[in-house]
Amino acid sequence: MNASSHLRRRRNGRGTAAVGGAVLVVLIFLALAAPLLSPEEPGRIAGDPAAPPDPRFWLGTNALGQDLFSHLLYGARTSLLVGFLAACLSTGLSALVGISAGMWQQGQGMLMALVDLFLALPQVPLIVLLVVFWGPGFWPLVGTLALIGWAAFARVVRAQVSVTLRREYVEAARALGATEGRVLRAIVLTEVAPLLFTKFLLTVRWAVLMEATLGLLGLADPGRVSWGLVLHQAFGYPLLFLTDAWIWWVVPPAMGIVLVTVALMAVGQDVDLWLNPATRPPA
Amino acid sequence: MICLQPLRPARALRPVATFAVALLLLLAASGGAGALPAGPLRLVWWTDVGFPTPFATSTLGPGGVVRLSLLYDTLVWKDHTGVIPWLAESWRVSADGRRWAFSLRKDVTWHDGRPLVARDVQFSFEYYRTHPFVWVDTSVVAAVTADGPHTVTFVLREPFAPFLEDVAGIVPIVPAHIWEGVSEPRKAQDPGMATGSGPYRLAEYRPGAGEYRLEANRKYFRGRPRFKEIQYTVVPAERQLLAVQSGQSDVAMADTHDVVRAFSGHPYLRTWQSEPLSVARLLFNLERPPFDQKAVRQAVAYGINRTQLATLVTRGPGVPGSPGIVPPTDRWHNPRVRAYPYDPSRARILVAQAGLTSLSFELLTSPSPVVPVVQEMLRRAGIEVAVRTVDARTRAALVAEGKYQAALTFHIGAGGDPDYLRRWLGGGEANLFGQSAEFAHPEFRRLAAGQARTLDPAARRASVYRMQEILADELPTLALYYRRFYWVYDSRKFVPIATAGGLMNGIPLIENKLAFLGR
Amino acid sequence: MRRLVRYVGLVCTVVLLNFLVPRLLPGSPAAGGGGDEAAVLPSAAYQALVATYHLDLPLQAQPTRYLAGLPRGDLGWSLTSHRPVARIVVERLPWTLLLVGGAVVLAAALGGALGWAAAWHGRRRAVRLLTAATVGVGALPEFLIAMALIVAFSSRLQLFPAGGATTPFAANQGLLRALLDVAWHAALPGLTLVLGFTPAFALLMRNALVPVLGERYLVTARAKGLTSRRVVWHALRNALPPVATLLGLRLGTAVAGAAVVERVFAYPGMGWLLYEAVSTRDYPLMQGVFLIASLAVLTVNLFLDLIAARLDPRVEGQA
Repeated sequence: MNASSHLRRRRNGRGTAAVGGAVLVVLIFLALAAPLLSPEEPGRIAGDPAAPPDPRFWLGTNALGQDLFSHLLYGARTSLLVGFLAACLSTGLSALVGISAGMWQQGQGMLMALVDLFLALPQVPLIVLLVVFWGPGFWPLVGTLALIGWAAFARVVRAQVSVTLRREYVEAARALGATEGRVLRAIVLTEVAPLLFTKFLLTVRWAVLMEATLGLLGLADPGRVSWGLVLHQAFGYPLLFLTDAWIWWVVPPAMGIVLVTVALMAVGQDVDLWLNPATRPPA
Repeated sequence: MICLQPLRPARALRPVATFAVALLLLLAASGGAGALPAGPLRLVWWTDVGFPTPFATSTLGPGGVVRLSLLYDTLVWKDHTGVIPWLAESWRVSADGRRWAFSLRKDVTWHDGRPLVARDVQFSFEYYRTHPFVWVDTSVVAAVTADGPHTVTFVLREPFAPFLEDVAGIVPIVPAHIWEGVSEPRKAQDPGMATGSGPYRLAEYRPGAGEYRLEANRKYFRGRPRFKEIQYTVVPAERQLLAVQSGQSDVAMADTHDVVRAFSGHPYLRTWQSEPLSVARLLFNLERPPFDQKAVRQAVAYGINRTQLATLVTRGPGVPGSPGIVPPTDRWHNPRVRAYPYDPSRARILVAQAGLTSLSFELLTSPSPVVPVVQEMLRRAGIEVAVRTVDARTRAALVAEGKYQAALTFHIGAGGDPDYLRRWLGGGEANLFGQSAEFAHPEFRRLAAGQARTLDPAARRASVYRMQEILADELPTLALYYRRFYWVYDSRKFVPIATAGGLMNGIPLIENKLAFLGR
Repeated sequence: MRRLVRYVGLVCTVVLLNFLVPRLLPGSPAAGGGGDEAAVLPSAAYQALVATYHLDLPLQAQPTRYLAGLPRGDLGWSLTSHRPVARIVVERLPWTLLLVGGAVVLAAALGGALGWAAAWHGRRRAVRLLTAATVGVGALPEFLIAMALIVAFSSRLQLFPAGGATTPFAANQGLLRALLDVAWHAALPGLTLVLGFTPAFALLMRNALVPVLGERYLVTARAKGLTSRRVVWHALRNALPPVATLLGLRLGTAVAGAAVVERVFAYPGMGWLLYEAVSTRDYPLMQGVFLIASLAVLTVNLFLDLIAARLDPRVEGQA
């Protein structure tokens, strides 16, 4: 690959990543600053129920007369936090189990049996079951999502590690006396990192989505405004689709979810390129 | 004001055509005109309600038992005035209130053509003794005798004032020749088992899909039914209004008043509202602090603006909870119970009187929009509420085990015979709503048992009024507000009729079979 | 052989878990009522239900009945619909397999193609936009997509039915009409699922291809403008295992259905069945569905393992 095409590629990736990163930063800022930026307390009944947008309530009010714009901001806070926490935890678990199983021959059977067990239980019902068991709440949700989300990718990671370890250059390195630690660091991590990153992205997306889905099923923590809760309340409003209410009630949190995902994805593209040994620019 | 216009009915597109022209039609939108074809009546519910026999039908809501009423008949039924003759054309009750003699109509046949006779009535109640009917308790019936082919006498264990409305008016009569010898009636689900005497017969049931096709019973004793066919399908709550608006079904249910306004200008969709038979109430655990003290319960009552809450949550003229539980629209309602007008300062005083510096408690609830409102109102009265959200079954289990301070519950049934005051607070009924929380007030218990045995209307009214006074004073439970069910229906197909006190024991559904009979 | 032993062990664990987990939930199946609209169940009916289904037996005594029935295909009786669990599962399973399985396969094909395009032509604006759009739409909760589709295509345009798996009570159709009817009903829920499943396949495909495409000889080949069969084959060989694994896993989990989509569309599949079983504490039904769903996944996994072993004999030694 010649230098100019490489530069073009990087610049291109960087542009997307910059936009994605900027969007994420803005979203995170909005989420963090929700208490400062929100015109209303999220719990306060500030106006008429189900009112359309006006200068005071930018996105109108929900069925109780609470300010939907404030709910959007507070919702971002909860949903993003759920997404990132659950993704961090479950990616960590995937990496730990997947790499261990790939590298550690003796333990592989046991670890993969654990993975198989987790994979064997149907996901959404299991989540519902766990949330019902723990009761809807913030930490139960994060814990459940982390616990459910790791297994599938542990398998993929293990497969990648196994493949990598069987590559000729790894076998050569080992033959030349490279320690396991070195093999792990130098080769497996670099080969596995892109996968893990994909996993992280997918899991943030999945966790934000599951939060919304559980919310829609009525299993969101009702005491903590999240996008899932906003959507749940929207769908409880009988005239949602018979009037224009969905435009200011459903679309904003939905767009929030989409924005998070697309931004993550944009950032991911660049990090992906950088992490991939094949596409990484020469040092 | 929101005003909904009907969507233009689209041409009935065949699947074949749909696939071929879907993309084109995306642009072309819909066309065509004309009235809906006079087809079957298409009713909806949000779940399958099980095989329609009195043994197998779902108890997860009133959908099953109401559907049964189209297939089966009861001795008496209800219209807007109250109890009316049905299978029984007349009845007499003995002076001691223990013997009820019914004369049956002579022109009633089962769906398979056999005549319905006194023996079937006798058999039904005897059979229900070993295989209970899922909806009401029939154990008050000690013996049933068929005195002739069309005369049947009930002997009760004790006088039972609600007998006519709550037993004779609810318990479906089943054919002896079908059920005799069946040992596990819940599991008996061959199509023929759903043989009743009602205006409609079961033509087809698809479990899982929750689809029911009922055909008119042309030989029905009250005349030929209005519809050749009634279809029930499953439509989840959130798209019922869409379905009725776009002509995919003939009814839809909602529980807020804004629906009435939304459809008020519609050319043929109308709204019909039930009596406020569903109650939202707080249960207090009388055995644990802080609600073992009456003053604390009363403080909560003063701290909640029930009128505002009712209006806010039902988005219309709400019906605030009566501390005596019986809704203000009910003929048994005692208007002179202690009222607890909204008064946060009074709430603070009562908390102080109870010897507490401040009041905080945990509210056990399943997810509900009411909770944050109640929480906010009580906060303004200086009462902190920690909310513990669980699913409905968990709440029921925790309430049954007494592991709660206060719980929030919603349920129907606040209508019809006032005996529900006894049932709900007597601790006997197993259900999701914590009525198992027993109210051990001696005078209340005596009155509750007494009113059920009192056939004299004036004397009974006195007891029921007094019970409401005790409830209002003691507040073992606090009715927050009542809900009506709002039904949007296609007025070109049928006209709903009001039922006094709701169908059976306070069910706010639209399907009174009288509306589905010929005129 | 060792693999088989492991799977047998897993099956046993799953059977045990299936029995225990539902019963850890607080709440009794015998209590009447479900949602807000439920009414009151008399105590006599409650007692009868408890007795009929042996809910009064101690926890230790219940599994023997359950286990004794399993080999005969007896999964017990549903506590809410009073029908044999096995029959309910048999009724529901085909619908779920059709809907969710079909959607997974379609999504894998679509996502694979998209990922392929993104990897090879990642710099083209159209491809990038398409990828971003797919991921964006896929990020929406299924419920939302479903309602949007219903409002647009069912309520307003009236092109597709809003719910159900077939036209209710349609009688005497020909086979072709019946099949079309099924496809017609599966269109909106299927589309919802495809939109949800596609991004994972696309991302995985792209990310699996990108490293390969950077390999020296491929770069050279591409620089020469070659996309010979050999190059494509080499790229595919590297990209397919993870994609095939994901496909397998998704197909396995398809048996558990798609609770949300099935509910919105009132589609009689396994997912909504299981959700309702959980919320009504219908233990036998919960067990039955969990068991079938888990066994399906285990079978798929075994299958994937065997294929992996066949493709690469070295895997066998490690298992």
